Amino acid sequence: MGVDSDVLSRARLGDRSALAELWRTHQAAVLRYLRSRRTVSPEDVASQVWVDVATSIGRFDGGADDFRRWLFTIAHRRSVDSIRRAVRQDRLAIRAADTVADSDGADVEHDRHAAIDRAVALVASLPDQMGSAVMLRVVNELPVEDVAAILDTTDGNVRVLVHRGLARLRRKLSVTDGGHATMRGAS
Amino acid sequence: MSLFNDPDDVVDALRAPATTTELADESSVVELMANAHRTAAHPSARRTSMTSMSRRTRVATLIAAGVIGFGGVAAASPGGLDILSVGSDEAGMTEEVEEVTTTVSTTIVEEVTTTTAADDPDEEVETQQRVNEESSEEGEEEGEENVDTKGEQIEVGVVEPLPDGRDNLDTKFDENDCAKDDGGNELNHGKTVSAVARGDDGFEEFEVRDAAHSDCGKVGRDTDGIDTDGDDEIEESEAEEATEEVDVEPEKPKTDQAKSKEAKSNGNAKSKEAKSNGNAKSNGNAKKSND
Repeated sequence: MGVDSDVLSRARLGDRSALAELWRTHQAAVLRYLRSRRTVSPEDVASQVWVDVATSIGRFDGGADDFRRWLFTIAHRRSVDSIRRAVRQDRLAIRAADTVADSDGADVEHDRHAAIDRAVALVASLPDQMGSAVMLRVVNELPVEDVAAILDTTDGNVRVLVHRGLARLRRKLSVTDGGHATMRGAS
Repeated sequence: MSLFNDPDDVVDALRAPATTTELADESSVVELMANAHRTAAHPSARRTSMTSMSRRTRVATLIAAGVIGFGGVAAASPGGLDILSVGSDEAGMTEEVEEVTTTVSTTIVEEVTTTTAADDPDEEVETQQRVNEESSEEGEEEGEENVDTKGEQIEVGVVEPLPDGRDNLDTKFDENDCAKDDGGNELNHGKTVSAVARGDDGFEEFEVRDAAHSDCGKVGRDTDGIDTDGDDEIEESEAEEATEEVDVEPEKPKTDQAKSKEAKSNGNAKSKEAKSNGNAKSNGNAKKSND
């Protein structure tokens, strides 16, 4: 999932192809993370994240792992800003259960897009800190200390959040016949 | 039926490669990133543009201060108070400033001319004599009409001869009445006037003014006051000459008027010149303001 140091070096100099490669490599992860946090207009917020990356990448010093930690830090802060702005504007974020209900019974169950949407909806059904901890620590495989830094919490709390989040997902998926009903109830 | 049987399936789905939907608008986002990087990498360019804008602002401020300062000087004159009533129209304000400038310049030039003439009486006398000469020359050239520079016509008085040879109906005194010595020779003009003033015998009925205006004792006149040839025809010819002679007395107002008109014309010429200079100045100011 990472990029090599050469791409980062060229991206620091403003190389357009290197910036494009960074974007293609991490755009999906950033976008899914934003969606799992029920960010309003996640595509727009993702674009802002990448503009911030391009603005500050000249001062960035580190490898691929450092870049991913830095990237998700920016994405998390942008997501928080977006959610706060939406609350001020009295715009409620789309609940995960509603998204699941909308896709219920659709013909695209076997479609990859539908699987991704369903997975994002499942994680989004978790509490905010719990879902973010799962996305960052389990899905994107960031170190515990990095996740703790991004979420502004302790390493132990990150481990607890990840454990409880996976357990809650397992319970949701244990009911084979009433999976959808379980997810609605979780919301 | 659920798509996921285990949380690992969910994680695998979330780790799946990006879809075409997720990677849409790649070009626009990359363009935004490139612009953001270029802007961040060259902050000096943005600083330079701000500096140049500040320099332009300073230049504009200096020009505006100059225009306002000059307008303040013009507005300080009594005629410049009307500028306060001018609206915010830039063209109208410029025209008003031009008018004020012209008025001030003209007034100054006229005052200077008047002051110079009053301070130097000799020059004034010379100017008056010059005006008289010019007026008399014009009168001789144009005969009975004297056309001034503005086209006004002034009638020059013509003396009609009297039946008894007197040249003035209102004057009783005549050159025949000039004072003479014991030998019958005509005395000079001053003695004649003095005799009239004293009221000597034979001069009681005359007035001093009439005697002073007479030609008694003047050079070129027959001293005996009588025709040299004693010919009456000659007297008639003298009477005819007298009719052609231009009386000096009525010319005086003409010369005065001519003098004043001459002065006016000179003043007008000077004021026009001053106006043109003022307009040139105001044009320069307008050019400055346009700059």
